[in-house]
Amino acid sequence: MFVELNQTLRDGSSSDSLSERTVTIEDQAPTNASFLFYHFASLFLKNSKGNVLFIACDQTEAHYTSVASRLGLMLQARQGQPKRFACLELHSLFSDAVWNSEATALNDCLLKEVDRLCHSFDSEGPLLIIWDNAEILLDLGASLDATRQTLLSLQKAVYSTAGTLVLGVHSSPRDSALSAFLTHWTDYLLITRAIGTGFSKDVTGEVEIQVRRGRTLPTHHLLHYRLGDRSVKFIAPGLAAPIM
Amino acid sequence: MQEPLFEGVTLIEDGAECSGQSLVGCFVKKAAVRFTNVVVALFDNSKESFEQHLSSLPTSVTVLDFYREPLPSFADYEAALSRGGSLQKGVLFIESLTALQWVHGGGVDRTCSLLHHLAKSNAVVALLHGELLSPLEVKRLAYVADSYYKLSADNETAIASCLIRRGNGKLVSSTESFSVTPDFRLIVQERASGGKPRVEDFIPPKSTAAAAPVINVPFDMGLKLSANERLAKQSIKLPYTAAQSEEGLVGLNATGSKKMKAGGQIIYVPDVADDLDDSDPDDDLMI
Repeated sequence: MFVELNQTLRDGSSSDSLSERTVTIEDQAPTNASFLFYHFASLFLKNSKGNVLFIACDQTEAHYTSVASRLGLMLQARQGQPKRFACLELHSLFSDAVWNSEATALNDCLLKEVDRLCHSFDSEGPLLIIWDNAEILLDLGASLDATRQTLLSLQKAVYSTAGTLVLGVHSSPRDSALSAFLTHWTDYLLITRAIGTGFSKDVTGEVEIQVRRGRTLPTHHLLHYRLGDRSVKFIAPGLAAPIM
Repeated sequence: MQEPLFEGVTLIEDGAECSGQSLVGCFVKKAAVRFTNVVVALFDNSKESFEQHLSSLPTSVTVLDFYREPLPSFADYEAALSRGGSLQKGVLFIESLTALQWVHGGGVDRTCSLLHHLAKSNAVVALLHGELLSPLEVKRLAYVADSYYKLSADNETAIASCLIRRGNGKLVSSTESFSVTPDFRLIVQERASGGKPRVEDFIPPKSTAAAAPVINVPFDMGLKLSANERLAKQSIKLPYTAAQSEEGLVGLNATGSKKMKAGGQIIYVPDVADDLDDSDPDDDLMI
């Protein structure tokens, strides 16, 4: 979907840079980084012919589907097409678990459901799991170790298909131990933040891309972006046309 | 950078701006050369990923894959690490000490005592992510360590501050910039001097056959000597060899004004103004 972002993520390597990779997307207030989720979903649904599992927590499945369709990405399969997209709404899953008084912990409940949905796809291929808020288990009272183990389990499931794990967080590493752990653990860290004054009105915010995999010092790239009604445009810093 | 001693507990603290994974890779490769028993306990990365990172895993390295087979409690990890590291004298690498801290029943106290226990039979090298712990916890762990490497970044340069506690109580500290090449050679440059970078070649040459052989070449090359001539040549005492022996020095009176010839020996003749007392000349420095 976003060519500039792909080139930066590839960072000089010619191979498919997203196979067996973990990406963390951190959005700092007041920005919202959900447009990046659509980018990764589009990569797997259009290019890689893989399967996508969306673990929705901040928004409903209907919201994500309708926004994706405005960006030209059809998440739900049409009639006669193989099923390659599934969405797991965490609030309904957890409320069901509480009402049914199941003794299992929330993370076990989540992993069982993920496993069931992963086997529901019509075709085999690399799996992309997108979780829009990976900190929710902590907020619901799970321990740091249980949350870490859940993330490791999701990573194992994804890597067994040579896929990609994309995790969204809302707090910075300074505020949360889990966010700091993700900074060390992930291969790519994408941070969206608002820009200061003095920039063109055409710029909504900036994305900092850190390539961390196997490096002593991570490489930093910076892109500005503009959110339109039906599009997202990436601009190299300083190249946005001034609006007079 | 001070070379790792592989004695007691070595801690490497990294941060978000400077990862310690590559340095651990260097240390694993070095330990694999020096020790026959090297154990690596993985928590956050799989064995395949670790192998891929190191490009090839030395045969003497055993991997405890807690990533694929996590254990339920800290006590289980204690038992597994003690079992894995107590076969022979060797080195035990713990990929993430932070993961151990988070495990049910863990904490700084138990981690410190576990490190002490493991260090009795093996050298222990552990990686620690500084931001994931409170400053007090980091200080307590640093106090346990015999060698402590703190990694940071400054202007796109990786910096390592080392503090090594020697057995005689001496503290050795240094701050140097470093980088790790893809084949896990460590390139170190001193921060203060800004001198020429040196390569800490932790991995010795593969075999002695590769090293240039030392050839004992006689000094009569091309002379075409007969056996008698060669024997006569070998029996000649060269003039400087006599000067090197201490003959003639016994009974020498050095206080006289007469010039002396004593070969290559250095003879100190005290001057009238010399103050030759036995006290320590540096005792007023209050060291």
